Amino acid sequence: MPVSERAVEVDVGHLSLRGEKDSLIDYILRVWDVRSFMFHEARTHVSSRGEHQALGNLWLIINPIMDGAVFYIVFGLILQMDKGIPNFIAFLLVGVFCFQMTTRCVNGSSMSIYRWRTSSSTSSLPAIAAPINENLRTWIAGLPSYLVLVVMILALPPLENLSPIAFLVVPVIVLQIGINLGISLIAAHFIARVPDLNNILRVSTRAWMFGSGVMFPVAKFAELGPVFAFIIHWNPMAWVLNHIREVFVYNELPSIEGWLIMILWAVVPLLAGTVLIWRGESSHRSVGDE
Amino acid sequence: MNEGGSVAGEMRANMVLQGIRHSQTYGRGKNEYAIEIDGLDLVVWSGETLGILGAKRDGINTVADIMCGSLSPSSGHIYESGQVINLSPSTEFLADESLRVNLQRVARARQVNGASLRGLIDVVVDEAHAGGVIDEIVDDIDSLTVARCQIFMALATGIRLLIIEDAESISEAFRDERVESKLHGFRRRGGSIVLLSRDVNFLARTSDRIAWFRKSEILMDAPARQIPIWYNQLTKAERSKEKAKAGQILRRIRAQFGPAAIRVVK
Repeated sequence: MPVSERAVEVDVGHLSLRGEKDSLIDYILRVWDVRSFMFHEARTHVSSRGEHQALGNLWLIINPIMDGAVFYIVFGLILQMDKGIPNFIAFLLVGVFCFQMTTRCVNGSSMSIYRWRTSSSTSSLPAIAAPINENLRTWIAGLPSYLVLVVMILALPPLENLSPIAFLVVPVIVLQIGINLGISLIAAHFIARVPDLNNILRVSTRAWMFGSGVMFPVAKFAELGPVFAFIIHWNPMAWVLNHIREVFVYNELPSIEGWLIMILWAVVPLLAGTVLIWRGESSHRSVGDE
Repeated sequence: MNEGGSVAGEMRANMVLQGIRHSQTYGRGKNEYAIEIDGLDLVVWSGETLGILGAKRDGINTVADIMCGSLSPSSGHIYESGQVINLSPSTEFLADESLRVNLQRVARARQVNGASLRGLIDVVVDEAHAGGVIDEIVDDIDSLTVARCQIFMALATGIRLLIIEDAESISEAFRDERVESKLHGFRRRGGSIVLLSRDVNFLARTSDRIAWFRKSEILMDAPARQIPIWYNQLTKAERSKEKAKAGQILRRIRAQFGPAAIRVVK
């Protein structure tokens, strides 16, 4: 600082001293305060995507129908593949649709803090709102695909009869929301610090897909050795897909162990990600400035 | 500002930065640069327009971030009188969204919701004469109307201090009668405006006082009209690579206009 003989006394009696960093509770309350903004941001983004297309937001429905139709035609009609799995088409559709939602949430959130910080209207809001907003946006855009999934499973042969067990799909999806969000927070935190990790994340989500039983049963992977069996056992998405298939396609009560692992994955990364972003809140500011 | 250790008479401050220290690295690879703020003292007086002159690499945006609270300094004290808004016109609005969506977005980001939000937008649109274009895409609306809406919306949320980054990008708005009268009213009620720019002539026209930042510290803090003379002299000497002359000018600036150390009185 330049040497100067000048000095000025300022009366700060009417001013308040800005406090230290928010406590974790205050930080979470700040996020709660901007919930209306996050919903508005997510809704606007989803609806504006269809604005320049003739069919507008109908594409949110048409796209998953076309995706499902392609899988049905290729695997069901042309290849007539079943891999020994009962109702393989439903098995495949659940895997593809549900895992797609997770990859969209996680990959979409990866650079979210960067984008959030470059917008002056959001730069003063808590950084954690960025990945939350991205997840919200993905779920709003993706929920129609879940409805399409239900309709396709009910409409495509072999026809399935739904029992009350099928309603257990709701808590599984709630847990999937928690799992996606927790992993998104952690990914967004580290990628905001080291953007290069984004490339690793994309490869990892692909590997994660193979280890989650999207297109074939995970049991095949588990048989490769104890390390694979351990990874598969603790892979939350393998349980999410397994539970959705059991309650919705096979009309079976899923195992308690799977529920516990999903709860663990829905809670621990969410807490860890929240704490990481809260602790690094100030340093995240530099991310968006170049 | 009163000098020489006297209390600043009747003047009230809206923000005081005292002994701010902060280090931060920006950019990556070849574009990486560091900002090292070491003991920054700065007062923003009630009713004034303070220009902050300098480039990003001089740390002016870091100072703005510290002022608005989106960056916490490693040490130092910040005294404030109320809510601060940091407006960056180039990124405030989404260019491919309608004006209405953008106004809703900004208001919600500042926690204005429900009926107050609708009322606020009506008032802003009315004052900015933007009723006819509210549902048009921002890119298709003239820049003056957009700038008016951005400034009016910021002022309508009950703030005490408005910071405008890249202020010269909306220089047209500062010549607009409606904006001028609105900003004048805001300052008369005790609000303060901080304009960040690297354009000395723009700041000299629009500010009462200028704090000229160079290498993360205040080189000169003086009434706006005095800055361009010294700024131009120093720039000319540096461009013509007259090191001795540039050094001499720097020493004179520091001796006569170096920033005042701040002592707070409670």
